[in-house]
Amino acid sequence: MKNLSDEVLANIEEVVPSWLLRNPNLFKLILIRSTELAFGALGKSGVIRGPIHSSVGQEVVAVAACASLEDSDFMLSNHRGHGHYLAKGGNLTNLIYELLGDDRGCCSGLGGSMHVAELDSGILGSNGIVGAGVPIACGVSLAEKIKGSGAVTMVFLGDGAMNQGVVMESLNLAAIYSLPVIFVCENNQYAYSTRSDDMTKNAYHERASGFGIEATHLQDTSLNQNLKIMEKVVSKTRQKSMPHFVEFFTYRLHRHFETERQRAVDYLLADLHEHRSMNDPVTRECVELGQDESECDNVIAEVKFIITSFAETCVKK
Amino acid sequence: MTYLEILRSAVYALMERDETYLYIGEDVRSGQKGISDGFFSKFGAQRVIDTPISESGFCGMAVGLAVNGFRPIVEFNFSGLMFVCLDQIFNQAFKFKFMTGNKRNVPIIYLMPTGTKGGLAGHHSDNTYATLSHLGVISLMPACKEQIPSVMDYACSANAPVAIFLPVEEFRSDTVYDIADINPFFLRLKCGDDVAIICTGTSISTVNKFFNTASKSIVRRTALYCVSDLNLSIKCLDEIRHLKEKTIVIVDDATEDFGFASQIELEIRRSKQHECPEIYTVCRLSNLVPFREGLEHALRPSAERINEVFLDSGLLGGKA
Ligand SMILES: Cc1ncc(C[n+]2csc(CCOP(=O)(O)OP(=O)(O)O)c2C)c(N)n1
Ligand SMILES: [Mg+2]
Repeated sequence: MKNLSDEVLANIEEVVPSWLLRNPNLFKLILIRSTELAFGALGKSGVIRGPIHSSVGQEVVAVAACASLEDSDFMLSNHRGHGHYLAKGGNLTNLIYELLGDDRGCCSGLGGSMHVAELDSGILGSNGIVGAGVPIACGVSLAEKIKGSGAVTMVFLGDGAMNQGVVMESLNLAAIYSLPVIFVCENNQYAYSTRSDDMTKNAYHERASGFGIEATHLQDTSLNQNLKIMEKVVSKTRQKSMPHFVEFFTYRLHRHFETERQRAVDYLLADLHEHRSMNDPVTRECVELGQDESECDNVIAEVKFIITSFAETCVKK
Repeated sequence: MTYLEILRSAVYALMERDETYLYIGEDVRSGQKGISDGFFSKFGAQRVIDTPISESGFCGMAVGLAVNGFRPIVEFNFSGLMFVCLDQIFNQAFKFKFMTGNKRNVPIIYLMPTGTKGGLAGHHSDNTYATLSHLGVISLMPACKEQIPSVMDYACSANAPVAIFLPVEEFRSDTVYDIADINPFFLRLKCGDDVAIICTGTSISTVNKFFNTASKSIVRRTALYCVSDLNLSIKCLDEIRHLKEKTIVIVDDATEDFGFASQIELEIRRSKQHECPEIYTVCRLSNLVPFREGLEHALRPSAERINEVFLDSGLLGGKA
């Protein structure tokens, strides 16, 4: 049972315009964007310690993937996990506390950015070891299957994680035990500084198919379309108790971690980066709803300000 | 120059000297860790090999390369990742020579950034060296930049799998040490007649902080030694056994239980059964490293905790 008041979220809901409140998925998108921007700023100014892996640019994946999950469904995340946590219904205030190392945090301040969990919302944590959450998700879904609960388990992994042996083993486990687990592979085209194309000869969703798992390949270009597809994926996984693999083609607009130093020869492809920056998915979704870009930027700035001020006040106290 | 810059140039020199050295790991082409900065443009894609996130796979590949004419240097993201590929390090690389009748060497160098500068939490803060020491894999940890070349030379001459642990806390350090006898095993960093502090690469900066805050008399009367040979082989043991001080404080940022500091303590006790010095340890208190700053600080060796040892035991005028 969830019983968590969310002070910061309540403050945000008070100031955001009604067109946004009427559209909860778009609201989530903006919430994740603003939160990541706030964390990035707080990390750079030293208010938050340690590396922060931001999901700026990938918000559509988190929101579309988690929208059809119930509270009783499970979700496991990776190092880039703030968006997944918020999309699955994690408490924002407790997330901020967590990144501040405050004992009111969702993991009592013991985990920080890379280890966020909220058991009441089925968020079984994020992970600092690439790929390590994937077999755990298989175990969680096997348990639910044995219990006959009908719950599904979703696990997020990056393109880089697809080259961990344990992930390949897990795909096979899910296939042979017919587990109600959804693998969401966020192909953001890079693992740290490494282009995924340089490290993989075939498509990730084809790999999953090779294990006998139904696989879907999606672009992050439309929230609504992806919401509909993910709704079907979740209900099919639940009803048939079969694994599903979803590859989302996406892009991270920020560096691997916020305080990463750019090297003399940068690994980012300048053209790709510019193209993706010009086609920011969050702005696009707002514009599609009839808002103009500056309105969208204003809302994000306002929400970011609420989060940043809250964090700064906590630290001063 | 910093620790990292000296490390980089030592590896660079090695690669330049001998073409059979290959540099392998994640993000090594772009040199994200700073160790292989510029290697790719100098040595090319054949010798600077960017890998997928497949530690088990590329550590196994290193074994194959090593038994077939090459000398791979494998860079890890952080030492805790040894746990995802320990089979290839211990069961395969370490045992290969033995299992083939001692006929084939397996020259691999694993570069393992270790420990934390703080704020890295549960998965990225570990100091895992005692694991390899326990398994018998040759392991070294240069504590200061002056020692890096001798450690590299030793690792190369071993013709075997060697892990070099690199304390991340020292990467940006440019502290200069005046060391008479530089060797890869045991360093005498500072004289003093009464108390000996024995540190490692993961605690050297903490001990320096302690010296910066301690009284003049404590500083004058306390010697500082550093153990870099993580297997405590004979050259290192000889030094430890001949320490004259009546009190010894071992400081290491790994856990003590079944660990490195305990092994040093054991060796001292074994060698000095009749007039054993008093031995104290200041180590990491748990392998569960919390994110919260205060808790993390309390868990790790600190100047304050070393000071407490001096105070509590009344060492050198510290009140009992
Ligand atoms: C097993 C393992 N290897 C290496 C690392 C260091 N590391 C952390 S994130 C990362 C890149 C991950 O790339 P990807 O899976 O594509 O996720 P993304 O960061 O792009 O979201 C690496 C190499 C790690 N944490 N765990
Ligand atoms: Mg990626």
